[in-house]
Amino acid sequence: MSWEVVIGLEIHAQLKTNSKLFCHCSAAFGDTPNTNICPVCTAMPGVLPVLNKKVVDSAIKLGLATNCKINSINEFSRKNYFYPDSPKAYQISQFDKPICLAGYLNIMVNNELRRIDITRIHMEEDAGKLVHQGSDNISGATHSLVDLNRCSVPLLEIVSEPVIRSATEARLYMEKMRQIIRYLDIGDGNMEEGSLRCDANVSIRKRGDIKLGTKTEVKNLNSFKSVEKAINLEIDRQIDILEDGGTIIQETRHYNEATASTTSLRSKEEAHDYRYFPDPDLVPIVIDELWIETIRKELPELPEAIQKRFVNDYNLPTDHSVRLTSIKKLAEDFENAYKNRKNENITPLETANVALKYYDYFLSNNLDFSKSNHASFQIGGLTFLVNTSTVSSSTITSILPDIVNTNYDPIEYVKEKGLAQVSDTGELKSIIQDVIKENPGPAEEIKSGKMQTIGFMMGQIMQKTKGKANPGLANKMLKELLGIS
Amino acid sequence: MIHLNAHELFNKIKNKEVSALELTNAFITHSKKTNAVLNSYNLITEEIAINTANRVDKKIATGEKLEIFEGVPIAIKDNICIEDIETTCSSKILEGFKPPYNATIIEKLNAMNMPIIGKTNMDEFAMGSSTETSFYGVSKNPWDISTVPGGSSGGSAVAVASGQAPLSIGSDTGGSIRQPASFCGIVGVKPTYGRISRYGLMAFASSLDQIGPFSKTVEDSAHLLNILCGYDFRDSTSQNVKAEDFTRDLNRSIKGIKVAIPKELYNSSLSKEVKDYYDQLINKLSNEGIIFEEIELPSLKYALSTYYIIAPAEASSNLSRYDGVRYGYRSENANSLIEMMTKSRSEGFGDEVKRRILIGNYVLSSGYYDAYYKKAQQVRTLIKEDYKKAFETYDVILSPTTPTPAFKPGEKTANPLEMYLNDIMTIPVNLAGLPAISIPCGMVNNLPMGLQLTGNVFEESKLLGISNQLEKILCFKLNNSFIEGVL
Amino acid sequence: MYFHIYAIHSSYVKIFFVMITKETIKHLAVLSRLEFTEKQLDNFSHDLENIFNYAQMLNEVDTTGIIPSSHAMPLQNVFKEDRVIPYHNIEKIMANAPLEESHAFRVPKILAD
Ligand SMILES: [Zn+2]
Repeated sequence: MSWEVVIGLEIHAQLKTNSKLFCHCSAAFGDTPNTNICPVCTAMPGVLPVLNKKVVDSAIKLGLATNCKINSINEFSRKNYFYPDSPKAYQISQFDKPICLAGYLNIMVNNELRRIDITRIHMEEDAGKLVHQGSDNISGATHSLVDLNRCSVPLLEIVSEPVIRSATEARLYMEKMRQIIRYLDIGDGNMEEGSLRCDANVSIRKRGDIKLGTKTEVKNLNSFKSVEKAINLEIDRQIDILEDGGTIIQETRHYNEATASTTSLRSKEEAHDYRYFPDPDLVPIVIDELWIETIRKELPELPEAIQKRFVNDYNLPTDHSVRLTSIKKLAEDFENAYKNRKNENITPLETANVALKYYDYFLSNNLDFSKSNHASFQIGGLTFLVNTSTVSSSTITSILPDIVNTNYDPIEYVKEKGLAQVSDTGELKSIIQDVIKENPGPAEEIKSGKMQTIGFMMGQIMQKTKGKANPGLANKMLKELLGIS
Repeated sequence: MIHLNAHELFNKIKNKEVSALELTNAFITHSKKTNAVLNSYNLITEEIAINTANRVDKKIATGEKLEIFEGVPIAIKDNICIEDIETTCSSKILEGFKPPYNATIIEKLNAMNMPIIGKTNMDEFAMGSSTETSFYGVSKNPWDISTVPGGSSGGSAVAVASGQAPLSIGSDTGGSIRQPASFCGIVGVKPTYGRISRYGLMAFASSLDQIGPFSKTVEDSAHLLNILCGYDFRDSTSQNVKAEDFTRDLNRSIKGIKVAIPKELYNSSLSKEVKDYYDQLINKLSNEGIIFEEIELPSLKYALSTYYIIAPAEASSNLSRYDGVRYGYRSENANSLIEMMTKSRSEGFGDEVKRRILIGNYVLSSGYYDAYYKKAQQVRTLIKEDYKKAFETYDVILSPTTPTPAFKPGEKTANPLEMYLNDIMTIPVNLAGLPAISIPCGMVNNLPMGLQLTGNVFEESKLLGISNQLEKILCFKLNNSFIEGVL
Repeated sequence: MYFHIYAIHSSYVKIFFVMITKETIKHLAVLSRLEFTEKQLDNFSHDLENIFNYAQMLNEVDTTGIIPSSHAMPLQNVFKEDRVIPYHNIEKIMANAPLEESHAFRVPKILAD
């Protein structure tokens, strides 16, 4: 039996604002419970909400960046349900008039372009946090503590159409969404810290069927890895059930990263009657063309456009340009380094190679590239050193630990530490002659055609020069001196 | 002295005939003495009143000029938050709740140095027309303590009518200021929706609630509105309109003004006694050069149904925050969260509140939303349009404030619908957001009756001007000796 | 599932008799976090039935194409600036907590529902 997978994602992105959605409390992550609270976000009797304009601006930005239509008339509704992390016992959200509608994102899956349609994006407030006491999980707890620091922090909920066809596609779409959120600088997009969250609606059907299968909602996906893993688990689970002749129950399933399994969260039917109605405490938001155009002008260049430009203007391979645009700062640092190149003959590819090496160092050492203020300047300097054969590209890797997160000029640094390659032919010649004299046996081997021994001789030369010999030059001269070139 | 109006009292303070402290003490003493009978206060806030009075006296001592109503005591409905002062909405569920902040109007009254005498009794969460739904028991109408004072701002109306305070504050969602003003023979104003900040008013129905004053005279209400009104950035529904002096039209002639009387409110549903009374009154006023015309506002017939869908819907959601988690009453008899919430709410709310929560949740439920809630909101649009058309021709709209004078406790509690029908005159105004006033116009069955005048949006000055002239013509006097005899 | 509708008259205006059962009230009670005695269930179902039957008159009104009013007055685009103003009376909020633990609101154990 051939099964087709149908996935829709609901992404929650926390917005990077100073203050909360409806009050003036700080929206910052606070670890001491109930320190970023006020009468409004704790739902004291008599308080009223006032909308944070920056949230609307951010929603329009994301809408434009994801090819959505921006709704001109917007309304907030109340979603009514009782839970202690929701102090008003309703969440202020958008219901039938969301701010963005009908957009899409393109992603590359196995070198194939896939378009993921976006149903809607709407603004809403986050809930508070419950800390269960006496046990690690809710069922064993003796009681719970309510912390409202996070309550009413602004969120955008981004709902995709059920058009995602695999767990990998889901992860790639999610990664793309994060990339855009970060380019727009409207959110941190950090899944581990919960500023980017996702629920997946998963169903399967026989290939060729038009009708969708019964879906389940998988929650608690706290990393990109979990997104992929949990969806695959759920697909396998559903296939097993159907192939055994069973039926899928529509339910919510909780993913447990530690045990790599999902468990059912059954809830009573009545919990789903949210009794939405327009919030009478808030007034409609009317977004006109002028507002949209103002925001459009503020939009930064987005990764897809930059990639195209890098390929067209700089002749970079697609792979390079995709990697360079993975985050906005890297793309900018690369481009600035190239524009301010210290040698006319430095090529974009040389600069790109150094920039990627530089960025990889941050990634593999878990360093925060966003705080690397001298990256562009140092990438430029390092490219110059490579371009002029002052150092080898392997030397770059070895000096990065000393210079990143400092304001060292790499050129000065190499000079100070005496790391420049020995490219003086006279000096190199006498060193090579010494090595031949000290190693007559291997020298003879090379002369008689055993070329593998060149490696040994090069090692000796490097040892004598403390690694500073220009390897290409040394190799060439060694051969000349042995009369085999 | 306690029977003087606010303006007279302010002059006495200003002219140093009496100190603010003496005045405040006189009202506190009278309030304490009479509250045992009238049950108009949930709490007398002697300490803060005296502190404020002292501030005024200090100002006088240093020769500073007083602004109008500085030093004049005021009573506040118990659904308006005063920092650190227990505020209960006359509900068990808010037992012991001390707001961590002041309502915007409390800040304004504090800035004006008006001593706050106490928190007045009301129907629980302002749901009721008699104060009978109060957890603290019914208040008594000082004209006849066997009758109710009206509601929901019953305590505030009693305070002014009985000389406990020269001024008071109420809130009006469907008539909760105008109806008790009518029953108690005083002036009560519901301003245009958005004129007075709702920040700090414990919400009943957010799109209908509006704070307003009670006073003995129209002029006092006009002055008090000058203090209360104004844009507030903390209330998204607050109207950002230019400040105006609401006393500016008080002395304008009303000869030739056009007054509409809607058939839908003035018809055979009134008892013959009441109808005859108002017929005679309108005749009298016609002789003063006022032009009365009977008009049709067809959608007003549906106002009560519309209101009893919209108000409970909003209320059911507004009252969900009373869950025992963060403040107020929490049931001790619970072993789980859901039980704690359910028992706290079941033990903390009275029956009328529960009834409205049920109605509200019903009309918002999936499957019923369109038939009830959306339909009501559409009819609300029609009601607004009917009024809008009428104000193209007429200066004000007139009707009785209530279909009957004050009734007796228990008379209408058996049938909630009958209680709701008592609000039929006042409810349409809230749905349309219009300003309206009730002024006392005479007696029926030895009980006061009110005249309701409704103005166009933001036309409070005109409304107050006309009311002030009518007040002069009607010459209604609070029968203070009668009130004192009762006590 | 809430109530049964019986058409008792349908000329050009639809008038229904609305019946509110005890089951309906029980369901609404769960949604509202309220619990009732049998007597209360009887009373409330009777009250709501009266009220909704009175409200049936709304069906006489033709509201085709009428925009619903969520507000008394027209207003739009009211915002606050994205500025932090710390609130200094947090302890007054916490002082109202029926049960406080570790500067948080303590609630009884949450049973899966
Ligand atoms: Zn806050």
